[in-house]
Amino acid sequence: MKKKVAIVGAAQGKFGARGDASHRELAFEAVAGALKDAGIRLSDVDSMVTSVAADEFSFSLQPSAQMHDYLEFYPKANFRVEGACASGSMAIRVGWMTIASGLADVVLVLGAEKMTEVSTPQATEIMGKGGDAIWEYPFGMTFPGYYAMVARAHMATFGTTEEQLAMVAVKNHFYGSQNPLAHMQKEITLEQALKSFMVAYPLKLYDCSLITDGAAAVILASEERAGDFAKPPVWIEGIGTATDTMRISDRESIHTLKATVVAGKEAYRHAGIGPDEIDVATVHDCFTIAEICAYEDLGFCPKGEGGSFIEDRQTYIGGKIPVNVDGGLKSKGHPIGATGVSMAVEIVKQLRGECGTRQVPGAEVGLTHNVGGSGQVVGVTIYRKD
Amino acid sequence: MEFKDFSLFIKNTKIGTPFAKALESGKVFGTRCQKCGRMFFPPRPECPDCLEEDMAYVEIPTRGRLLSYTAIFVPPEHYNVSPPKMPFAKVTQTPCPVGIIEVEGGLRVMGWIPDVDLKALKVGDMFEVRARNLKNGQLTIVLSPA
Repeated sequence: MKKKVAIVGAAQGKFGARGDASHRELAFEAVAGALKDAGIRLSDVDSMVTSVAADEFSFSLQPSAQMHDYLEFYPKANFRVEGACASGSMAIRVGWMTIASGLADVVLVLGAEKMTEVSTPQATEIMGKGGDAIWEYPFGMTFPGYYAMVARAHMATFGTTEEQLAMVAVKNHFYGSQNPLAHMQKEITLEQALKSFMVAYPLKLYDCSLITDGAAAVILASEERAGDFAKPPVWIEGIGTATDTMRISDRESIHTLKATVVAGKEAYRHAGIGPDEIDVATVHDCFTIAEICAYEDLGFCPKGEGGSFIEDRQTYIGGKIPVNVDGGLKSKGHPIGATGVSMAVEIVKQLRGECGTRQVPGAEVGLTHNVGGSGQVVGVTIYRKD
Repeated sequence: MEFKDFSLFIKNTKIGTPFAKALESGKVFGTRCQKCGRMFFPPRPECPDCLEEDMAYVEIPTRGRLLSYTAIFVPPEHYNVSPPKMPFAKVTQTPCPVGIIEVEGGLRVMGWIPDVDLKALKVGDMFEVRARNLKNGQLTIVLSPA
């Protein structure tokens, strides 16, 4: 990466079914936290990028402008970015671009989504139409349905089992139970996961991430300004972004998220490293199968071995590469526009050594992997400790 | 037939009329670019390579291997079953499986699989794409064992 940009402040609010707070109030929690973390005030920020994935959840035409107004950031610029569940990572990419282009030195990147104001069937419909609304959604396809197709193809090709899928849920709930900001802070057993009701065969309730309200924010700074804040900078070393077909039917292989492979390679090339050098990762576990695919498609293990990788506990702390030790989308929750930013918050805190019982010892290089839709857009970002 | 009777959401599209009429007569149409010969399913009225709207409607190959499948037990609002008003009652569903097959030439087709039990399905099984008239007058695409 020719231009150096750092994260100098990071925070997320409490994720959950937040009937107690509006969309803009959730946004304020995260922004206030990130500013305090950086030791600055909002007036020190030059420009803002906001990630909100779906107006359908917020019942408003320009939710990002409403949050901008609530923060009293006028008359400075705010730019909304949307990439379904990868909106947060796309916003960080745009924040990086805003600084690298010389337009600004300090940029606030905010991600916020309030999803629980609609019913679960309504949320299922909104998310289902995140796939091909003409040619796939009419077959009753839902978001779990798309990933169920991925799971079934993976199981048939590589022998991955429903037990191995459930092991991902058990791990992520184990770490989520140690994260006070997580939506569902409780451990689950393998039996519970396997006996939970069917959502989209073969995915069961505990294979699915949560419908969550929440917000997260990071402060980005230019190389010239990166030393001016309360805590040492965490540098953005690589930003890979890639896309794939809208119809899941048209994917080269239904068991592989090709956009993950392409975005990952780009990010590794920017950073000049390979997957073996990643100390901690947050990957897009919207469904348990998605985490197993991410292990493989990011190169943490060979293709087809993701199931045994979790079975051998290689993604627990102490394993080959700890993954989603914040609880992941599975247990921390998945407020879609906030998720990518929240992943960055976790990696920044891991690289600073601020994660308590779920700290990965000595972590210096971290990776975030954020998927939009069923793989239509993917962002992979690599971070390094100062 | 009226578009409102069609189960796909193609009413206000350029390909809607010819596709629906073909389906009504039992044929599944794709489109072929008259300039470069590229074949499309789902049908589209223009070629993204040639940037022209010079397409022919042609029947797609119908036999292919099952790439993957699922069955949706928690449906979207559009297909949602209302909760029963009787105390302690539950709605239980037996959803129809949905699958994707790859036909000759590499095109992929999604369709309902109404004639095979979910537990009996296997990735790799051979299926055939067919148009199907539903009882409510709608038309849709199904995959039948071949």
